[in-house]
Amino acid sequence: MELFNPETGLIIWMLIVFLSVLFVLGKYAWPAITGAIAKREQYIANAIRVADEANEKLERIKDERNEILGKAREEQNNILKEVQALKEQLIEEAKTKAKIEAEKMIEDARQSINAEKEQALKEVKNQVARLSVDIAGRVLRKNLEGDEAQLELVNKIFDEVKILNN
Amino acid sequence: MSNRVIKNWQVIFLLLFILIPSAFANANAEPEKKFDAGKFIFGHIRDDYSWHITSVGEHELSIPLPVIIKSQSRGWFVFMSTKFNHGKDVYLGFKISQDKAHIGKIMEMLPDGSEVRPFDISITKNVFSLLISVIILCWIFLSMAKTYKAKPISAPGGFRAAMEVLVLFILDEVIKPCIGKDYARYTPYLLTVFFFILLNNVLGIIPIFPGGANVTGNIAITLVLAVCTFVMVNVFATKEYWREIFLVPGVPTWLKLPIPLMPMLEFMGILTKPVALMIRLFANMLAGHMITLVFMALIFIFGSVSPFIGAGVGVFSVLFAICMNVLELLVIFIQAYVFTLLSAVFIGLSRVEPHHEEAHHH
Repeated sequence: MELFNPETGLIIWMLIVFLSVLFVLGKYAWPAITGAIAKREQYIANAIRVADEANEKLERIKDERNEILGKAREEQNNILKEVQALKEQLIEEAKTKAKIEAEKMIEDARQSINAEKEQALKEVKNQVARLSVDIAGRVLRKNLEGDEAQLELVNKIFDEVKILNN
Repeated sequence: MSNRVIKNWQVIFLLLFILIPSAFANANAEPEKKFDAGKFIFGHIRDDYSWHITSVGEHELSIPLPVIIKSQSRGWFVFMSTKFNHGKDVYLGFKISQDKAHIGKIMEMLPDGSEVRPFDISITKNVFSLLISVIILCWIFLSMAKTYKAKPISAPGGFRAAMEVLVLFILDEVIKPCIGKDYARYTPYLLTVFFFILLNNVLGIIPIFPGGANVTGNIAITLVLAVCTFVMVNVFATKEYWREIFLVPGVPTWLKLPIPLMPMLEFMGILTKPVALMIRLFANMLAGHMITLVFMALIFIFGSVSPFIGAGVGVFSVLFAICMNVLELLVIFIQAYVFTLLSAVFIGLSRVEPHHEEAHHH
């Protein structure tokens, strides 16, 4: 049957036409098309990778930020604690200083009071001695008649002065 | 009501079965006047020296194509096919044969009265259709390549996107999985084959010019395609492929030593693969054309009996033909796909690498 009998002319034309279209498309079309598709695939893959990386980085930065924030908070707490301690210490110190100062002042005051007192006592003593001498003089001038009575009196005064001086 | 309709149908069917043989009988009795279904169908399927479009009354409307023939004694002749006056005239000792053996082919009439077939490389209907399809193919993909080169990153739109889907489908679903790591070398061939077959199939089911030629249903076309696949398979085959064919490892020695039975069978396999490819595409596309033409022929067969029966049958014939054409839409794609897939599979088989167990064995 002629349908199953390949025609030589058609075979020749088919060979020429098919091989030339294979050459033309194989050289100018398919490499460009498949290349561009591959390039685009790579581009998309790259874009996805970069986006993933960016996300990862963002995540990492977030973690870092949180870490830094945590550290800062800790630091702040530490500083606050230190300040508190320092404050207490300062107050304590100030208190002790004030106490010491006050004690010292009290001591000084006491000393000066004592000194004044002594001075005053001395003065009173002197006054009393003078007064007594005066009184004694006056008494003596009146009572210096008998020797024995005079001697007794002088001794008596001496004793009294001794007691007073002690 | 419905009962009557069914009864009417039964009558018509009965009439049909009675009338079919008589219609054929009539056609045989008066071939000039009656419709000849065989001539009609094969006239459309066969290659031709002019591209017949339609007949307007007595006048035949067709595109003349150049005839290029070489007579053994008289050398080359180039003239337009109009010189034959649609096969009725003899021109320069050449005529279009009406014999069964060389029907529709140009024959040279020798002085002694015998007829021989000259060397014929005319631009026939199929060659012309081939040229049109190739121009379309180059135009589509070269313009596509240009756009891809200009902006490779941007996504394509419209027709280019549809083509890209097909290219990617063939590339990712056929070529890469079937061939494996060396697929890049075969990509241009397989993509060209797929789109060449697909476009010619599409042109084949378009009934008017520039479609309608039965290109992929012609065995010369599928022969060349099968030979190309044969070359692609065997020229770049690995050593392991040839070793497996001629040494046939893993088969008892008595099957290959005195008489090389297995190697012969394996060698036959090399040849049967492309032959299967050739026949499959040719037969599928031819059958598709034939079925549609048979439905059309039915109209005229019955029309020649009675115009009313012809019209009645025509409605169903057209409906069936539409269904078949829709099926053909699927078939043209499937056949292009199958040819490409099997070519890729055969190429993949020729790229075998030595197995590790066998490497230990030797």
